[in-house]
Amino acid sequence: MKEEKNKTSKPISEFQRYVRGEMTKRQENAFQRKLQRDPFADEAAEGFSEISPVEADEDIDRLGKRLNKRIAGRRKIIYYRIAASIAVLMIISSVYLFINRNKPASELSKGTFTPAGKEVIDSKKTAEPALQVSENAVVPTEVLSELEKENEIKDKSIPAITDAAPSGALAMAEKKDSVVLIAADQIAMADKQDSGVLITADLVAEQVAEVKEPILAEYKAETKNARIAGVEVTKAAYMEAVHTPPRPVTGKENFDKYISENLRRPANLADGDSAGVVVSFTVKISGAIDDLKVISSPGDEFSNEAKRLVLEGPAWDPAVSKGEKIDEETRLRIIFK
Amino acid sequence: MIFKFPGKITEKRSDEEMIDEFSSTGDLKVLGELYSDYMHLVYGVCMKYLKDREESMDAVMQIFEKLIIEIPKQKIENFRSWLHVITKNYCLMQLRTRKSDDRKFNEWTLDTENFVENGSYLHPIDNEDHEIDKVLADCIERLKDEQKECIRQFYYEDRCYSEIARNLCIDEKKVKSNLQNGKRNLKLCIEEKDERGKE
Repeated sequence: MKEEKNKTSKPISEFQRYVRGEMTKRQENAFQRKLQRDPFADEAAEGFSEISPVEADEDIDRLGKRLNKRIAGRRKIIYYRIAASIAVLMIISSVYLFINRNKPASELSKGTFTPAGKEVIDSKKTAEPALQVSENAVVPTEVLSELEKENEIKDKSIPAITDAAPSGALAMAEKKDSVVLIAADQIAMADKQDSGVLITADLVAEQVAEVKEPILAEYKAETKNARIAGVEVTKAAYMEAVHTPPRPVTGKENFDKYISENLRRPANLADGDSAGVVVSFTVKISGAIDDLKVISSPGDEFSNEAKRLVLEGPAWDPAVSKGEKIDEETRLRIIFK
Repeated sequence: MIFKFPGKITEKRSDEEMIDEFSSTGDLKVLGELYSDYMHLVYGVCMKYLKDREESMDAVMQIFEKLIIEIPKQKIENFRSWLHVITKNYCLMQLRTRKSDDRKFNEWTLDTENFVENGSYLHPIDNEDHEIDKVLADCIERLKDEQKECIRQFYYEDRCYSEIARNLCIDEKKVKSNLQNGKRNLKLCIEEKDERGKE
């Protein structure tokens, strides 16, 4: 953590020196004057007086480590996820190739039929339409051409597998929502020769559920294009992080303008003085403002004026999280200048 | 999405720039960079209220989690003072859950979250290059003895808290509160004189 300390800017090391009692009396006075103007540092200094300088250093050090760990934590998970998907995809593709070359056709088709159940058998009967569906469902052309090639080899098992996959797609197209998992299961079953597949299917389904482009992502994964799959994963994580808080329909600038133009200064606020009120309220999905509360205020006149400004002000757009509108609390600070 | 590996010689960015970047990207690294500058202050304030090292360290991390959620939602004009308020509120909430029978006291403290006192307002006496203003000097004379003495020694004799405490045989905390109260009285006195001057 030495680096950390060197990096810190001047006021901090000054702060540290003060806490450690390394200052002369004059320097102390100068610093205390600063503290008089800086309530944050003032309170912090008071807090540090509860413990010894050694303990303080120790704790700050530990906090630095904890913070770094916290920041690194989430990134690592993303990397692990990407790495895991890539690894699993590579296993599948090698197993897939291996099986296609070595296993007799009859054995393979057995393997696919038994677990996949009725739906697969059904879709096998309608092999032709199923393939069309798969075309509609944005199957990358590589897959198709690959499938065609393999059809030429007249390996019976291959059509069975391809049937199973589009049937998953078909189910999705029909039910639209909530079938991601089912589709994933079907693919997993169709390819049951390798137990690793189940893991990918789950993994892919989980990530894909967030992206809401199940078919596309799934097929990308199936094409063993590890890179594309990786991008999808980061995208999912990114989407999760993106969150739009509630905001005034007029936009922030116009809202500020509205506040400054309509604000009525309470009579008891002396000219040149300023005061702030913090209010909290929930913006409902409908845009309605609910549960308006004053969090902090110098007085009733201020509170009432702040409430009035919010209630009479422009309408609000609700917060959007992962693409869906939600009820959300927001806070607003209104400054009386 | 490209992962960024910022070079070591990145220029020190302002709080506002970092807040903007965090709000738009959600990159924890940016928030961490910003927070690490203030972590010792947050920890100090937590120590002041919670008086427990482990609890305070946990609080520092909890407050970081809070920032992740709150920052994108809010328009923050002054991160430093905003963080101070967040920290204080967090600690007071902790204390409140710790002993709910003290609720009245805590509510009172929360309400008097003195924006006026703590805001960007600069007390005349804290103004570094103040000349010994006649009005100010006059007002100082009118203060109670102990307050007057503290103000005089702190601002005009450049003595630190501990020296004043020793000189006057009072507690250091008493010195601070004398300064605080003395300043409040001075402000009132000066404002009163201003009013009269206008009339």
